[in-house]
Formats: sequence, structure tokens, C-alpha cells
Amino acid sequence: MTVRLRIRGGEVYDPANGVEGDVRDVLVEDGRIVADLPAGVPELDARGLVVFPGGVDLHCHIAGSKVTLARRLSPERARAEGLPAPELEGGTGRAGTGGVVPSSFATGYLYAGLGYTAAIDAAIAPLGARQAHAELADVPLLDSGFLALLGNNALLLSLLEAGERERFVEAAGWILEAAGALGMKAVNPGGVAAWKAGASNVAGLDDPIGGTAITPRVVVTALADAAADLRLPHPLHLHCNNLGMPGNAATTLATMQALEGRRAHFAHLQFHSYGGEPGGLPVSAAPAISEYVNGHENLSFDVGQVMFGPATVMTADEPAGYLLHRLTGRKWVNLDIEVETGCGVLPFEYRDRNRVHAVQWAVGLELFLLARDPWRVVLSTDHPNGGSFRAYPRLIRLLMDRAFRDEELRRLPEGALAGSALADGLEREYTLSEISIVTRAAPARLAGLTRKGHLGPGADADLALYPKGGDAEAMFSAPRYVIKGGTVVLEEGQLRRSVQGVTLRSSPLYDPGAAGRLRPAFESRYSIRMDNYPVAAEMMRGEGRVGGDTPSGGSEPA
Amino acid sequence: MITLTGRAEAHGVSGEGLLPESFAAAAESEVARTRLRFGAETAELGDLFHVRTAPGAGEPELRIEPGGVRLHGLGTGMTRGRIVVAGNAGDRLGAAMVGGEILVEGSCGDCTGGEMTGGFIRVHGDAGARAGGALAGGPRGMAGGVILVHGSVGDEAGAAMRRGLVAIGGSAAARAGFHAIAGTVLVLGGVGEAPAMATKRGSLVVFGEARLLPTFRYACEYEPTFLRLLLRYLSGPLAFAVPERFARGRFRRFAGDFSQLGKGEILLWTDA
Repeated sequence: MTVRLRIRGGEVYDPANGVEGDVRDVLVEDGRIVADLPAGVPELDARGLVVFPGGVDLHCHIAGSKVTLARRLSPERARAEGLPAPELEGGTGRAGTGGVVPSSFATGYLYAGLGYTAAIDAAIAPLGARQAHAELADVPLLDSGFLALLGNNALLLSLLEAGERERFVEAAGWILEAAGALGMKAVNPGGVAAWKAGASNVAGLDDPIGGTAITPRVVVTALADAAADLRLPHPLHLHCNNLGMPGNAATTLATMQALEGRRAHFAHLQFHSYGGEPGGLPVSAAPAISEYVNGHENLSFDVGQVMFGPATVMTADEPAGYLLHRLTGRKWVNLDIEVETGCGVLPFEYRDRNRVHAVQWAVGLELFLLARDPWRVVLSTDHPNGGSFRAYPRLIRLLMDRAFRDEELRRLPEGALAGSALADGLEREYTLSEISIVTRAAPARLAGLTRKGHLGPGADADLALYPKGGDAEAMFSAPRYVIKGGTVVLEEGQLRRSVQGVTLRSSPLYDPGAAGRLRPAFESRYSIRMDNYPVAAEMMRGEGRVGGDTPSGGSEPA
Repeated sequence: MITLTGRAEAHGVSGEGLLPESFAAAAESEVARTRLRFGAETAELGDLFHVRTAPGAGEPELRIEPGGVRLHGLGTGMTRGRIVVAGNAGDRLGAAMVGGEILVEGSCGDCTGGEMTGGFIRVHGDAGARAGGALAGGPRGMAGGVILVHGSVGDEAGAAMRRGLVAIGGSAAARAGFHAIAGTVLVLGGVGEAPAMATKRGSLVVFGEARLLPTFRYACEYEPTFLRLLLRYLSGPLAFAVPERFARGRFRRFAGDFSQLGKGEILLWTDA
């Protein structure tokens, strides 16, 4: 049966189609936006409401072993916020726990409760892809996918060391297809491998990795090339070396320069934009980073904003996790994922009276406010590393409301704004259109999600309708309606229906013969047989192929 | 005073938020409309209990006749007043309580007085594991207050406790005083395996059988004055039955746990 809906008279913000606050109707048919509808179809009165496309979180952590570990590590946080099952049309939903790392069903409900309808987990070890798909299937209301961790994969590094670039690319493509990933991620490229081999880390872009002749520079450029060669919808998603270290902006800038025009998306750039001396206190280097990014269209980034309050560090950057554990004495879990990567998890708290945390908070805001092109900026807290996604409304208010921002600035300890552009009084306030870009249009476009982030004909009918007026935090905390795939899931602020999203995955372009060539190396390095490695298509929800019709390697990896 | 009388068979009901001070001036109908978490959903208090209110002077009091309703987390965060449970209570009774008094005429579940910082809990029956201990995932257990269990307790009584007193009339199961940072666990009966395992500081006083870990070292035999005073306080003002002969004996002191800081102690009563 054809399902139609006319969303009448809302103030529409659809910057991808040049619509900035026009009062107009949005038409929905069978889960998509359409240009025309016959008269007499059901209507939703959106007068007085602001109409956005559904939110797209390009960088969060909501599935996989690290999330499970975080929940097990901090039962006290889960206990503090029990979430009763919502009463839904046709039955009761699922109860869960909230806190910084909500349980799976609760994650979907809470995201939808903010108007988000798609999310990408930014770090899944391909070996854990099966679990991640299963877990994402239990996160309702979101179309979701993940980025596969490739930057410390021993098999790939060995191919690079042997100078076999073509086999490196096809192996990366095969792994992505086998895992059902949307794109590729490199975390502290080479640094994790070095740490696992007994070194403390790599110190910079040209440090040899674990006694090999290759360096992070080689890994970064090879992966950036591979993303292009494989025709991935999203470029290399890069977590640079030296995360969180004072003075790491030099490494970040060197990495940007090393790309020499290749496309790359810099993850949680805030954590990589510090001046100062190693071992000392960090200061802001956001102006220098912003200047470089502003001048190079091949680069995009998500901010990874720190929000004061509880957070959970969960990172494939094992040495960084270990360092934080040593610094804070907090409980910590380390997970070694054999030849692929690792993972460190520890509960954390950002405090506004802590100078280091205050610097981090300020650096994030600077990156937002100094960015000239919002289409290359993505709003994120690196959930839950910088804070929960549930803090997005507050972050939006910080961007839209200078008076509120200045009030918050006054709470920071003296000296925290040294070197910061905020100290000079950044006046910029984001507009609703810019918020729509950094929370919807830009992340969708950067991820290659052509049917998301906009409201043009053919787009997925994912929308969030917010009441206008009041402060931005209140507005974005409580959408009046949320529509997912044409179904009104949230009405008058109450979750009424739950629908299943689809798996967002790419179609990497590689030679179908790659599997056979990869087999000997795979069988000699992995603890599981190659035939058991690919995740079966039945494990994935619906059909959310992005950037192509079918993988050139076949619909099922061989 | 408010009296709640169970009218249903219901397990897995969260009693968090059921505090005497919350209902000090509330009408019966208002109390009955309070929503409690019940398994995956919520239920109105009035669906589970008959509610009666009676005017009273002094500190607010909540009396619960649970019947078939098992309430978990009752008295969580309590600051003042009194809760009387005329029957059994569930897990986390008085968790993180700050002040006030809880009396249980029957037994209760795990984590009684977990992470409490003040107040008084008396359980006439038995208590489950981790009485006065850290709640799951918590870094430390009780940091103040008194827990009296007239019966026996489960594993890890006083786990990671920081301050305060847990007195047990019967026996304690394994690892009593586990990972304690300070405070006192006093057991009139025997203790199970690995008593005071990984304790840093604090005292575990045992009047019955105990088999110690090799990481505890004999120090001396003596008559600690603080124990004589403590026993007198327990049997007098706190009406906690302490056999008279316990007041006469001496104590062998074992220092440990030397796998940790080694500043804790186990005091074993001896009928000298």
C-alpha cells in the first residue's frame, strides 16, 4: 500500500538544495521525498515548526566489543539511569539503561529522541564485524554502518613493507567487503602495532613501525590512495598519531601535508590540535589547524567536542588509553584484537575547573567557529569519548548563542584560553542553516550517503521537526515530530513507533581474484579460517549499499 | 506515617525513590500514583500496595508490609526519617544512604548498605553478599554509618569499605572485608575462605572459625581497648546480642594483607 504524507507549512532548512528557512510543504511517499502528491493525502501540520532532514552522526561509537566492554566496566553508570520500555503502537518497546553508553535499544530511542536517524560507528575491527552488525540490528530507528579499522592490520602492513601496493589495495577492499563496512579508518596508524610489539608508541609520522621499514606516513598515504582506488564513498577516516598529546598539532599538520591533496577526513580533530611542549600543559593550536584546513578542500573533519561531565574513553588507540589510565588511575580495560588492532576503555569525566579539560573544550569550539566551509565540518563529541551524543543540543547552543558561550567561558580556569581565538572574542554564531549542514547535510555528503542529509526528491524521508523559539538547547533536545523512512516515529515529543533501519555499507571496487591471492597470507596470520571471516549478508539489515550497485568482488566475498 | 501493604506478587520492583521524606505531607492518592520501575516497565505504587497514611509527629516514617512484593533499592539515597520493613527486602537496601534509619524484620538481598555514607541499618534476619560493600562497578564501599545484621551474611561483607561498621551476629561467607580500605567488620560467628583478602587497612574481627590466607602474618596477642568499648556499645545502646564471654577474651592479631599495603588486620578472639 502506498503511504503518503504532506508535511504542511514548516520552516524548512535543506541547505543541500538551497532551502534556508522557506515556509513550504515537504511531500513523502513510500519512505522517500517526492516532488508531487495528489490532493487529499494525510497531512501533518508543521506550521511553527522548523523542518530539518534527519540527523546523521558520522563519528560515534555505538556497537562492537568496545561498547560492550564499556558497559561491563561501568555498571554503576547504567544503574544510575534505568530506562523503562516505551509504550509503542502495537506493543511495548525495550527497556534499557542510559548513562554515557546506553544499551543498544536505548541508543536508538535516544538518538531518535534528538532527531537523528543515521549513525556511523567509526571504529570496528573487521574481526568483530559480525558482533557489530548484530548489535546495530538491535539499535532501532537508525540506519547505521561502521568504518573498519585497517591502520594497524599486520597483514596489510606486511604487504606495504613488501612494496606490494596493488595487493595492499585489493586486500583492503576484500576486508571491507567481508566486514560489510562503509569505509576505512586508521587509528594512530602504526602506533598501535608498535605498542603491541613492545614499543611505547610512534612519536611522529616518520618513526619506523615496530622494527619495519615502513612509517605512519607510508600507511596514511597508502590508505588514502586505497580509499580512492576502491571508489569508497567516504575517504580515509583518520585518527592521527599522538592523540591528546601537548604539541600534537605539529603531527596533525604534517599528516595533512603528507596527504598532498589526497582526500581525507580527520576524526575528532579537537584531540589533535594542541600546542605546547610534550610533557607540559596543552594550549590551543586550533587557529593554525583551522587555517590549514580552510585552505585545503581535500580535508574535512569532525570535531570531537569535549563536553563537561561524564564520558567514556573507548579507543582503538591502545597506547593513548593506557596513558590516560596511568594518568588518572581510573579503571581500564585493554582488549587485544590479534593481528588487526586493539582497544582501550576507561570511564572518564571532563571538569570545567580542570585546565587541560578546559583547553580541550575551547579548542573544539574554535575549530567550529574558525571553519570557513561548514560543508567540511561535522558536529560530534566522538561519542562517548568527548561526551555523550545526548549533549548535542547543548553543543548546538554553544555554537548558536554567543552570550551563552561567553557565560560558559567565564567558568574556565585562568590561563585555559592562552593561544585561543576564543580569548579574542569570536563573535560568530551558527545559523540554523549552518547547524543543518554540520549535523545533516555535510556528514551525509562526506559519507557518500546520497539519500540522506537533504530533502530533495528521492531522498529518504527522514525528518526532524523542532518547535521554534526558546534557547537552542531546549529546541534541539525535544523535536515535536521525528519521521523515519516515512513513518512518524515520534509524535508530540513522545516515541510512538519503532522501525528497523538498514545497514549502510559500501561496494569497494577490487579484482574478484583478490581473495585467492590473499588466502596464503591470511591463513598464516589470522586465528580463524578465511572462509569463516566474511559476515554473511543475512546478518545485515535491508539493503543499504552506498556508492555502487554491487561490489566488484561479488555479492559475497569468496 | 505511611504504611504500604503488599497486594500483589511482584518481584523486580524498584523501590528507589520510596523515601519517608518524599511523602512527608502527601495524600494517600498522591502516594498511590507514584510510579515505580517494575521489570522492564513501570507500575503505580497503588497497583502493588494498599496505601494508608496517618498523621504523626517527629521524623517521617514509612512502614512497608511487603507481602509478595520484593522491593530492590529501598532507601537508596535516604537522608532522614525511618523505614520499617515488616518482612523481607530485596537487594541494595539503603544503598548510598546518607542518614536516617532502616529496620528490616526479615532478611534482605545483596549489597545492603552498599556505598552508604551515614545512617543506620538493622536486619533481624540474614543479608546477602557485599553488605556494606561497593555496588557493582563502584570503586569503594560504605564510607560511614552502621549496619547490624543479626543473622548471617553472604560473600564479601564490607567489600572495599572506607569507613563505618558492619556487625554480623551469625557467620560471614567468603572474603569478608575483601579489599577494604578502612572500617570495621565484626563477625560473631565464623568466616568463610580468604577473610580480608586484599585488604589495605581496616579491621576484621572474628569470634568464630577462620582460616587465614598466608599473606597475613601473626603480630601479637592482646586486648584491644577499642574492641571492649565497641562490644559494650553494641550490646548496650544498639541492642545487638553479644555473648558475654566475648567481652572477656583476648585477640590474636594478624597483619595483612601483604599482597597489598599490609596495614590491615584480622583479630581472632581466643577464649583465654
